[in-house]
Amino acid sequence: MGLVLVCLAWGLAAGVLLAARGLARRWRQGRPVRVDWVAGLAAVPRRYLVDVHHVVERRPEAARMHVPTAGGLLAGSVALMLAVLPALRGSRVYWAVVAVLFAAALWGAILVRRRRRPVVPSFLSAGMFLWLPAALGAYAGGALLLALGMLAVPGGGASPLLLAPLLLAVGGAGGLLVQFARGPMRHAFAGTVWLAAHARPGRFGGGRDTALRPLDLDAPRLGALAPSDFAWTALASFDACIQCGRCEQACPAFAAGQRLNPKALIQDLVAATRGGSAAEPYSGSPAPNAPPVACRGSMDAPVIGVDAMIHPDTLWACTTCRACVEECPMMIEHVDAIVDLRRGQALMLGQVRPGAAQALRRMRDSAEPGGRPLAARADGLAALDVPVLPEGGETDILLWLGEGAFDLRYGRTLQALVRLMRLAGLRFAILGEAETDCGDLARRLGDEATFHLLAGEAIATLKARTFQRIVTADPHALHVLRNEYPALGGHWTVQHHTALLDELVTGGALRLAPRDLPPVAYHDPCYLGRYNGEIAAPRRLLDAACGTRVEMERHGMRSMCCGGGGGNPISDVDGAARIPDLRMAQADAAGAAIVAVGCPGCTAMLEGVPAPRPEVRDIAELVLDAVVTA
Amino acid sequence: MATELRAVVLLSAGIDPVSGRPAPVGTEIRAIGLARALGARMIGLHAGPAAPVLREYAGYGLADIVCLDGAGHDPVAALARAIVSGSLFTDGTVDLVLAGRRASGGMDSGLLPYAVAERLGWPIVADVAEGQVAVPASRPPEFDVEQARPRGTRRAARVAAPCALAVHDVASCVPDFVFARTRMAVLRTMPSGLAEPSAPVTETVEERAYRRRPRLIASTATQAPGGQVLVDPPPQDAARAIIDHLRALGVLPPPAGS
Repeated sequence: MGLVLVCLAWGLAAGVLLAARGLARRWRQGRPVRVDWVAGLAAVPRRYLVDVHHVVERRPEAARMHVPTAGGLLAGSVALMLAVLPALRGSRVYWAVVAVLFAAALWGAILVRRRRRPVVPSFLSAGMFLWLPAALGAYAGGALLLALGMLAVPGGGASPLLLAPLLLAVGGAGGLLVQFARGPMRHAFAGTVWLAAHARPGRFGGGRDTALRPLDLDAPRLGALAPSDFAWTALASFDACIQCGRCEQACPAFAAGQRLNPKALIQDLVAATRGGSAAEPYSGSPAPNAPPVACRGSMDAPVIGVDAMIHPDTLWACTTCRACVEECPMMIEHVDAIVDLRRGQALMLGQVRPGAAQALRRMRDSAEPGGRPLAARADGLAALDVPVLPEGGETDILLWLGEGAFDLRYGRTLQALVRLMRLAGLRFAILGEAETDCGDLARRLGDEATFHLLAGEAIATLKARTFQRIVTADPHALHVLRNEYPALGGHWTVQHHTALLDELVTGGALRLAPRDLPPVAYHDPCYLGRYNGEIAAPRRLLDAACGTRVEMERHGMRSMCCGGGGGNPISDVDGAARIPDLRMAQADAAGAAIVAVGCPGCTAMLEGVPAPRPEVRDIAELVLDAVVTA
Repeated sequence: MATELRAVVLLSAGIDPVSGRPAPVGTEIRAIGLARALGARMIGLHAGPAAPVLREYAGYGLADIVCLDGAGHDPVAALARAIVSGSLFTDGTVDLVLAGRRASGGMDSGLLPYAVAERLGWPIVADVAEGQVAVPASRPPEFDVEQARPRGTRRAARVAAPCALAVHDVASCVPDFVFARTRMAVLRTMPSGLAEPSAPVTETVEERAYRRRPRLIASTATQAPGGQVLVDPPPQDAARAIIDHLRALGVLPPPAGS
């Protein structure tokens, strides 16, 4: 009987290997990328036990489920495989250990079952998940009984009593193999490969890597039209998705009913690699309100379109806020996938939304998404007489105004910032008419060609002038200038205005007296918080400038987007609600009377929410109000 | 299609009216879209040296662009000559010339489409906002076009090939811009075949000082305050009074036979 168990364990391992080979073959149809396997594989344990665990433990019950399930199952099976050694087969201690391991696995199977009983939560998928606990339980339970039998009858008599548990274990193992080859359990293997070959290794160990990768515009195919256009590592990452639905719960577009569900998107991509509707049907919640599509796909067939797998509206609903990425326990890069798909649509097919097409044309023709004269950008600062840095000129701080400066509301923020910089005695200048669009919008919309055009011009403009650092009040410009220009040859120190003001207040150049204000809540801009990790300085400033500060439930790195990023506002996205309305309701619920912002996009989106709502003030305005002069 | 249309789209090295940067001209982009809507095969024609901005027209779907070398001193003659030469399309003559209706401010002229049509002896329909091939199909093909008129009104017209169409800014047929197409664009240069002028061309343009045009209603209204007050008049009298008033202002022509 002991030998039968050994055969079972080795058979299961062989089956897993075979299924893994099938997965690897599918991934190899993706775009080849260089992977440092030695470093990657060496880093897997740490990435799994530290970085993945950090995310998983935000839901402690999920972490508690994984330890006995994955640990018991893996350790128990490996232990069983070791029973090829006759010495072990005869040892009661050995069988006791095996029994304990499978008892743990059985407990895990019960925990897995509890996740979907009595009802499947909306964010979880059903389908094959529904009989996963049964397969786990049968295998673990069968193996447990057999191990107990081996304990009771040393030497392993072929008792007919053990036939039933054996059949149970064999059946369970067969079920697990199906779950592995065609079902969600492949996430164990795909996830390990993805952790080793991750496209952004800088994210592990508390690091950050959020810049989009430049695209070679001379390549024959630009972006992703079919699954095989993705890097093979990305295909592996899609298979790593376990459909836990955390992305769905974090996604602002999903919350507003805007035809995007990151989880469904990833699963649709997986289905496309498996031949569309022929694959295991997706059983989670779909992209809300998305019109039906044909569900046809293959490795080399277009994946976007009503006659394919994913409705085009899904792509343009994404605000690129990275909330899904932040929540994903498998560290999947949803935004990279969406931008790859957008690049294919924009560059190869010209299929962007009419509003976006117009903005892109204006960016190409006028170097400004609104088609406004570049000289009008600084109109809001006209009364303050800010010096313009000419070509060849020199200053300490270059103030990058950004697209928001054309808006008079945001002009008030910039005025406040300029006044504060004057009060602190800083030497600074603006680019005036020479400031062109930084290209952020074009890049998020997938138009890498226009981004390269604009970035090239902006980098040349900046290189022709001398300054210590760039300060901007626009986190989107900050991200592009700080994180994305270096790949194109532009290296500068770039600071957000809240970081500069924090520096001035901490250093004593500005003195603040906290004002007696109603509760203030800070809304983290995605491109400052999640993209750049700057969540402390704005809060320090608010604490110094305002009386009471409250936090919304979603804040900091897990803040919710205002809906203004990724070209969403100009892409005419249909939805059941507006994202800023949802965000303002959250501010209301937190008891805030003032929402402090630090981004022109957030300002415009949140101020667009109809009254009654909390007042929207930029941090610079609040700081200016609190500053004590002389 | 057995009778495939052959269209020439006149392209200028335009500039963006806001920024003054080289940019494709909006009406010419719409001309490309109109040619596509008509199902025509297209060649872009530019009188002048190949400029990088021409490549952008390829992004809107105009893959084949011909630049006429040495056309600078008489673009109208060079364009007309190229259009009738039969050398643009290998399989036949040009059915249709499309152009923007107005200069964008670069080295282009709003008069050019009219001058080319005149030189060719072809009819021209200006301010085209929409167009389709008339049914039933005929040879030569005819086009049902709509002209954009002030205040959003449209006027239908029918014109037979060969003809010229000058496209209006309100035409909605803006084609998608596809970057990948700009990479595949073919910019050919053909000799214009014009003899170099023996003497430098002298500008025969007369410049007149700006003169403010009087606005008829505004000017007369200030001269004639007051008016006539009719209380509860019969409709006929009221209508008569209004017509008389408009005639007095000169807005309506005087009655026939007077």
